Amino acid sequence: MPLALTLAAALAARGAEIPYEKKESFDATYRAAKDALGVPTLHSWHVAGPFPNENGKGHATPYPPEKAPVDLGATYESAASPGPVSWRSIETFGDGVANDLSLFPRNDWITCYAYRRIDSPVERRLSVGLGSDDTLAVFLNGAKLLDRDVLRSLTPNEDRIELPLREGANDLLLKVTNAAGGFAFWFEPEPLLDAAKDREIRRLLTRDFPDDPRSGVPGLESDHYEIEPLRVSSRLLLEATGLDFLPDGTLAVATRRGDVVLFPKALEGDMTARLFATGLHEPGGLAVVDGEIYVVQKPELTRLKDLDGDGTCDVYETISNAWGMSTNFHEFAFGPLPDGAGGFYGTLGLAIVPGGATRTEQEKDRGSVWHVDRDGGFRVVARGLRAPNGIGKNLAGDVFFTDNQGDWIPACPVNHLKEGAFYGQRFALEDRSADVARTLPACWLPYNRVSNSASAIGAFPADGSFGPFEGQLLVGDMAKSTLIRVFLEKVSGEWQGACFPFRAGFASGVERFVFGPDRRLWVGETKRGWWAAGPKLFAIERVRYTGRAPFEAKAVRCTGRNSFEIEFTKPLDPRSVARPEALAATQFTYHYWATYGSPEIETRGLEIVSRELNPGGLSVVLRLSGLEAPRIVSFRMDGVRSIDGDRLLHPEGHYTLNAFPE
Amino acid sequence: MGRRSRPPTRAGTRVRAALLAAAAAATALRAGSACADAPRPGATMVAGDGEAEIRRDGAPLAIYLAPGESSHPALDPAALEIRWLGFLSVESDDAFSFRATVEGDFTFALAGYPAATLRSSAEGTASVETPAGGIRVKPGLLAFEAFLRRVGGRGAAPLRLALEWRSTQFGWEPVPVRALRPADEPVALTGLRAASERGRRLVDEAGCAGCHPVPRGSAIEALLSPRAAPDLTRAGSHARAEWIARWLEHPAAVRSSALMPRLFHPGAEGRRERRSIARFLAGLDAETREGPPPRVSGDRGRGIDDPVEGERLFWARGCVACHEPLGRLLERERPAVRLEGSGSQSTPAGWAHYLLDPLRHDASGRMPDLSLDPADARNLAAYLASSRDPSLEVSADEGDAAEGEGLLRERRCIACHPFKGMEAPEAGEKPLLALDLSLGCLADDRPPAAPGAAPRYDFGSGDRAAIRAFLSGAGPLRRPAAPAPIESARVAVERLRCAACHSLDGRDSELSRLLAAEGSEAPREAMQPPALDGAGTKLREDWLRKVLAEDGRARPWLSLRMPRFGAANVLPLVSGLLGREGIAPGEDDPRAAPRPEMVMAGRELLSPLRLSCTSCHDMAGVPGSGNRGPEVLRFAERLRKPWFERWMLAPQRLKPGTEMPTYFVRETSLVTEILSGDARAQVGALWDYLGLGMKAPLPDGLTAPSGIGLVPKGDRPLVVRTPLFDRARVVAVGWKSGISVGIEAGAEPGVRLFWDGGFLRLNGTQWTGQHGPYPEIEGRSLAALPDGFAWRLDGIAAAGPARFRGYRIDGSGDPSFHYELPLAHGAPPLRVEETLSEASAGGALGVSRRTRLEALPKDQSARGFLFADARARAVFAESGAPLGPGSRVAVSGSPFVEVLMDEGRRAIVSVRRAPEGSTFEVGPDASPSLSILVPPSRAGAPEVECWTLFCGAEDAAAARAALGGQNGR
Repeated sequence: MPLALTLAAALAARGAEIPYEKKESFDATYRAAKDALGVPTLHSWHVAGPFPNENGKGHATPYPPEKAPVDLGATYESAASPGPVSWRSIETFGDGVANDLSLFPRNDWITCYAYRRIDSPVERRLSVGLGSDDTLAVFLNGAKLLDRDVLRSLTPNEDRIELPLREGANDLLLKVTNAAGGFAFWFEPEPLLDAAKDREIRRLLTRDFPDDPRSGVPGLESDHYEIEPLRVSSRLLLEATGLDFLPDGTLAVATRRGDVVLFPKALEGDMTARLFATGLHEPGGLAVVDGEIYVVQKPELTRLKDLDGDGTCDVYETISNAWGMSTNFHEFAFGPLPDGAGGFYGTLGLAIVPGGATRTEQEKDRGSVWHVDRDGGFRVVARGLRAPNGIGKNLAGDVFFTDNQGDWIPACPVNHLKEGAFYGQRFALEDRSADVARTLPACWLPYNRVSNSASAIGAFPADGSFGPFEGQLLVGDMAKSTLIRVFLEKVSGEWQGACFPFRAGFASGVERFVFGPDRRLWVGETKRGWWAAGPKLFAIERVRYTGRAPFEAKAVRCTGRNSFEIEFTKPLDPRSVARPEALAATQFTYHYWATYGSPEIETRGLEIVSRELNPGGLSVVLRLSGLEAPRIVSFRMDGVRSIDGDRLLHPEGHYTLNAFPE
Repeated sequence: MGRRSRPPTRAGTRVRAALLAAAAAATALRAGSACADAPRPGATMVAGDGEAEIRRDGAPLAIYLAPGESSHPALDPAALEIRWLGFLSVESDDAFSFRATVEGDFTFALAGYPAATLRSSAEGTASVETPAGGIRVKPGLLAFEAFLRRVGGRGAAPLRLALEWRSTQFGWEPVPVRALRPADEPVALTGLRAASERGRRLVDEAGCAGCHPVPRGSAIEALLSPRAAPDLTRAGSHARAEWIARWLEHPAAVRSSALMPRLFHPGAEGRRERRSIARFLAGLDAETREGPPPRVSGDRGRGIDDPVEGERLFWARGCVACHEPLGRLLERERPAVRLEGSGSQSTPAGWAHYLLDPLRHDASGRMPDLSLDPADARNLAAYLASSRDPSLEVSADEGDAAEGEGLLRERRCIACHPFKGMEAPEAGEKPLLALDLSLGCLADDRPPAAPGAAPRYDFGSGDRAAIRAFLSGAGPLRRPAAPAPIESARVAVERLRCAACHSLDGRDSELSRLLAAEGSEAPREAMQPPALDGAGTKLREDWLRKVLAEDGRARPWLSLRMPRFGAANVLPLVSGLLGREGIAPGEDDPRAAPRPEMVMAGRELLSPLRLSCTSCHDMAGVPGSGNRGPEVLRFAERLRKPWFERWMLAPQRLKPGTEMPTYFVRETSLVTEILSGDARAQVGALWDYLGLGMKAPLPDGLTAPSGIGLVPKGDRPLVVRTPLFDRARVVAVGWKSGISVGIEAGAEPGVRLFWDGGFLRLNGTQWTGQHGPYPEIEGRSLAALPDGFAWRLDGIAAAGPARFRGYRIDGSGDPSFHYELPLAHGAPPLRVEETLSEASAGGALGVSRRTRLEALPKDQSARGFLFADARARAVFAESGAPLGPGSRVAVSGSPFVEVLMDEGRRAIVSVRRAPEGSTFEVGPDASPSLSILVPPSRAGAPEVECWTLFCGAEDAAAARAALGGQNGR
């Protein structure tokens, strides 16, 4: 096993750099290792005040705390306070968060001090980011390092300074004055300990103190799935909205701007491009069938042919343009998903007004899933969609599609396509007053927790070449620039199941993906016009499975009126499962209403009555009390450890419980 | 003073009983049909002083009255007690909190929710709030009651209520009028039955007080407007003598809405008096009427003196809000003024001058100044003048102008009408409040007037009843008037018909109802001025004053115009609109000094890469593209900061259906890189930046032109699919020469548009941003062909619309489009291929369309549509002979036909190739159109090559020569 050997060697080498020595306790051991690495300890914050700031003079007036070394037991006279001022500990203050100083009976036109001790095992410099509302002065060991006499609101890391820490105890004193309104400060040190080193220390800690609840090795997504950026000429503006491979291994990419670009050597990592077709009307997807390229553009499903073999398209053949359409920007058309019989499925977005509300008037067929047969015959299969930016199949050929939160769509769903079904968006009904039963999603992707704007959907390959999630679904998310994993099971004949975060950190909004012949996932990305976490306007990247299976909750199955089975990719440490705080479950649901999105409502914690590890330790059966349906059941699994002491890479999962198994 | 300190009144008990009944009724209503005739929004407000009570529906839960002010001139400010009752409409199951800013004794109670009770009884301003965490409330209609009076009955204290609520769905906001419903039971009132608004309006408009004096300083005086009729000095500028004479005979016969009474005897003597006055008035300012129309500068590209354009403007400028369109009677709530016969009243020039400055003619502001430009005025005048009525054009010859002048005084015309140099006479008749309401002008059955008898009004029986209702509650009206700015504002809103254009009291404006009924396709926001509800909490006082009394306009591009009514008529609105929402005049939130770092954060937030406000909003005078929004750098000048915050955080909450995007979802910004994504901090930063006003440093990249200019450069044309104008499916083809063609690529496909001078400016989700602006052509439109498939067969009907089948790009890059026309009787479809390429001849530039008719059934003749455009004026043969509708010309002998377009431009349609025996045909329509008839063909697929070329008059001769020469070659 050369790969495993290499890894072991690398770890051993890394371990050698770590000054680790087992002490009497988890804390002492961790502290000693950090001391050896020069990691300072930042103690909790204390605050003293109020002192006067009449006419904004507080900043320039030295009050007692800054005149002598801080004594936390001291009391001070203050003209702004009826009684003496003393230090008090504020446990809720943190690093890299807004610390609200409005702690006094009156918070306008006052001054206060914040103090913390920093113990450093070595003399070193510590870079910190600061912010304040309003003025700020920073003293370290009596020396003033920063003086900002400004009226401002809190901006994180607006000031950045280095603290020259001496070995041993250091006194850090912040002076903040407030004129009127907000009163707060921000303090965020540089990472105190390198993540890789910390992981190694924690691995050893977990080995030596397996029973300590703080043990466990945090995982890294990149250890398991590596994102490889692909350098493409920026002139191409490769805002990819569709991609697929031709039989010869050429990658074909459709872009929002209306081009189809070919990359004949993409599989070799050479992204030399050739323009194949141009002038399309905002393509929403591309598929290759029998060596021919099909594109869904906003107005039609089109076949692109190169009759003369010169490598560029010369026939743009309209297969179907039967759906209704206006000029509204949001009338997207997505697909084409080959049906295996020469036809295609696709989806149509509704027209919306720029604010996000759905337009009252809709063209025919908007908000639907359509099918076009081999002869171009068009029909609507299902309705009630808003912005269904993704359609795909599982390995068995069942069709699933995503949609986006909005009015009548409380959160992004993964829906299973059923003939004649209505999925909830009432503006997509021909008769909006009709009393039509709503087909519930196979899986809700809880808003903000898992998904903001769901996009492409596809299946993990069956051969394990993309990790241990064979046949599960993979869903893209544009705003979060992530991939989501969805496990579905059939309960009482209908699909339902759970979603899990899978991989974050894409360069732009994840829009489309396809598994290449190289068994990697090729991801097309764009965010223009919408917000996305990924910093780039567009990108194309591919994801490689490193061969190291992540420790994840692989599947969640509903096994009865009050029980779930959670399956993991690695055997669990039974002791971790036994700890009460290891697992928690809550249930909630959504409004079904005309308002944009929905908060989670009727949220209830569910008591875990029992937890039972199955033989082999790969799954745990939870019996819950108070379970209802339809609900979304969210599991937190922060305390679960593998027998190797690993923490879960993503310790959460959200199961859409539409129905109990019979 | 016991009366003033007594506990809640008798009315209070009745009100509670009514509430209980109403709550039961509301429950029943909800259980039944939810939409049955929903009551208008707004609370019921009952104000009383122990002797009189006045009910108003549609009120917000707010008020501000300065020391000594009352809610109505007839109510004693010191004893004033105000009670709001009705229902809160709660739409979702949610937790609500309430808070009130109060000056006075105050209680608020929500039926069934004791925790929602608010109480305050302190001197000075107090703030009371329900317990933290909110009150869980079931959706539906919740009965509420609120009570407010001055502490200790001290009239010298202000009185204030501003009730706010919040839920988990939205932050603190004044309870919106649309969430309130009035008490749905009648509330019995004591004392002043005189709340009859219709009666008050009639007394006011009919000018009763011109003859019947009212007590000086009384409540009724405060409710009526002094001297509000048009200025007679200027009457001649827009009225002919004949018309005036007829008007004086019977005003309501000329204009049914007229309130002016008949003042003259119907007999000969009266006729002579009328004609004398008419001749006198018509002679006063006739130069304007007879002189040249207002000068129009520059070329607007639209007609002037065009009644059709005038009719469009009549709607677009909002005239229709108060006037009936000519020849129509629209369904509306309040009658509108009809304009039939306006052409008999004055000349187009007279009307145009009048429209440009109506306040000069009628200072009351009832006909306001719409800030028209001279061309608008002339088009509207042409429209008005197009309606004539011969009965209004009778001779006025027998009158004597000199006598007429004297009659103005004698007949008391100047009691109501201003006339320069004449003082209004004393009102000499019986005092208004001492009238016998069954006699005189109000008598139900009156004989024809004798000379010198009382003026004869055309009151209907309902009018008379309303006037009696108003005047019979006379007691309180006689009292000394208390200053009551809110009531004054309400009266002004009524008189000036503000609600005709603005939504008010939670109800849509009359205009929006009319537009909806007409199925208007005008963009909603373009014809919908801001709501008056909430204007007080939204707009700064200075700005409100600027809008009302000066030329402050936030949306100057709107076709609808906020009129000028004359400062004196609208300034009372300022304190009233503020007071109505609980805001004291002079209480503008102070503008804090902008914080420099926040200014920079705001500047970046607003930039095209972040929130991209300028995608819609004007900035620094650069117009926003797409759905245009107000100038951002004037926000701080116009708006109050709390409103701006609420608007930014939840625009749909403030204005459901607004096109303003929601950038902040549950207090978190979509832009997390700035200020940690903290919504309030970001809104604060925007505010600080915008506070710099028009001097603010602009965000990077703002001035770059919007969109991507696409220009064909190489030898191959660009072929781009795009939405264009209102067409969703268009293939645009542009050549380097600058000529471009738009092909409809949906149903009934084919060439539709020709333009030159550029190609496309691409914008929107596909190209530049998210939504609008949409792609548009660059350059100018040359021709727009009508919809419909160009080809049909003379022998076989089509079995459905023609279909677009795609296109092929040949070696030269020119596209060939494929269309398919299904045919009846099972015939295989007709397949049409149309190849487009550039063509030119002697300076005329255009496109060659080479059409191949494949699978044309044997022995079929075909007809192909070649050209038509709304701007086409006439068609000429090559010889220069005009070709009238129905003309046919053999193609063989005539290589081209020339179409004369507007402004002397030419479209030259030249058939370069066609089967033998083909002929041109000029269509029978009013606007010339041109087709080709192709005879049955013996061999294969017939082909027609047709050039469509465009040129100006100066190039036409060269083009003709070139075409002739080429043909001869």
